[in-house]
Amino acid sequence: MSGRRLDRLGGLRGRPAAGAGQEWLHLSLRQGGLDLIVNLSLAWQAGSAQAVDEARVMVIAGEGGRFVGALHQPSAARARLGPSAITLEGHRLQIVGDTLTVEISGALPLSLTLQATLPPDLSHRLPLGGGATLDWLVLPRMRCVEGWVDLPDGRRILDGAIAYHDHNWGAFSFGQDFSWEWGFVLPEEADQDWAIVFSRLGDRAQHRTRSQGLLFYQGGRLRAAFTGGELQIEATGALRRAPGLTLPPAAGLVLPPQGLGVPGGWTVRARAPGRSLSLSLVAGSTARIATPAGDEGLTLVYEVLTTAHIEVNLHGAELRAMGRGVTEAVRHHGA
Amino acid sequence: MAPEAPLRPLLARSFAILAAERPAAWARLGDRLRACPIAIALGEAERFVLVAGPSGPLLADEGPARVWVGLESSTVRDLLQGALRLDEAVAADRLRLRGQVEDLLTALDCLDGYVHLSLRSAQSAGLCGELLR
Repeated sequence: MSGRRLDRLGGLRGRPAAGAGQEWLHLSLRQGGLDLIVNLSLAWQAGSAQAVDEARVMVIAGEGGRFVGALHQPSAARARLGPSAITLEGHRLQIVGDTLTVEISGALPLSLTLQATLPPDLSHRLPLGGGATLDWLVLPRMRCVEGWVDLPDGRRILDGAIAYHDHNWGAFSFGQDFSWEWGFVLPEEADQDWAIVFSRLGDRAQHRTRSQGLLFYQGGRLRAAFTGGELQIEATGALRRAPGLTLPPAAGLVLPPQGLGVPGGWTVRARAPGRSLSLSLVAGSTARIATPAGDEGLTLVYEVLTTAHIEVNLHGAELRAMGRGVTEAVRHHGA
Repeated sequence: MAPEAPLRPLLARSFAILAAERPAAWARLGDRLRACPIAIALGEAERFVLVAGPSGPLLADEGPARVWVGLESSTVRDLLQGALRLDEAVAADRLRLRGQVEDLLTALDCLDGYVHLSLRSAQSAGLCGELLR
């Protein structure tokens, strides 16, 4: 179990040593036709002395092409933040060993206990431009030991669901000169044990890639990692359909109905001596989250449900499979 | 069915919050409204005018207007919940507008500014939740 410990790197980070900062924990679960996305995020402003300056808790559930969502904005002044737990009014997240527990109250309440089935991987100090950086601790496959979520039409039991998790922190503010696309894919068939996660960080206009990578896991361990020039990530087409959900919903009053430059899919080709991987992603339903960026603009985080086809060759051993996942694309609106 | 909460008191509280939290941006929004007061009729029950005050937008009982907006409280709720877009509301005649095109665009610009400010205020988000409860 020690290799899968989520708290080996010191757990939650809290306020950065200087300046503004962000920290968030992200979960995405799949159970049958239900996709569930959960995100707890904290933000610190430069010069503030509060334990937490802003806190948000988000739940998005997609099922049958329809989304429901809830955005909770608990009091940051009453937030309690320790090395292994966050308590935000009626919401709580705790990390102990290889287990992550989350409890969310209010709209779309849920309770989840997840166990790591792979060792976490850390990408340290990913460049966001202008000296800003992001640390990304990723665990592309977890198992929901016990869980439920209450949707408007009834409770969904999540025992046995497979999940993706990441924990991110960095000294930056939304609206700075960056954009990102990252995604994970998990197998369509429950008896397959592979997982893929990829990311690309670029400038705000998406003219330049600053960092990119792809990890392929199988058999409970990392089997292949591709970075930099070993990887080509291409956006294909354009997403024509309007997002099925905007959070907070009132942001929809000032946003165009269509996705802002969100592609209709992605093609990823990775090649290194003795190994290759091809990943074809097709975008399905999409939800978007609007986050204030500076004094006027909005950073839009698109959560795109994807279907995937993968082809992997590792030293002659081949895998062809179908999968499903979520790709997240960050775009900007306004100033 | 319980009667719906009137919009005007919530709007007045929201204005007070934004004036206190972001005075400079609030004053700029008032400046945009100065040449374009907006009369709002919420069903038959509520009528008021958005005007420019000395430090930002204010709610007045009556007064001259350049833009007239009529809608039901159910339309406000659907717009805030994302169940209806502005263009859909106009096309479905659930949002009735009158005024010169230039003034209508100014009103839209004021709405844009108000929403952007509200999205930056946790207290305003709480008021929105109160309205939708």
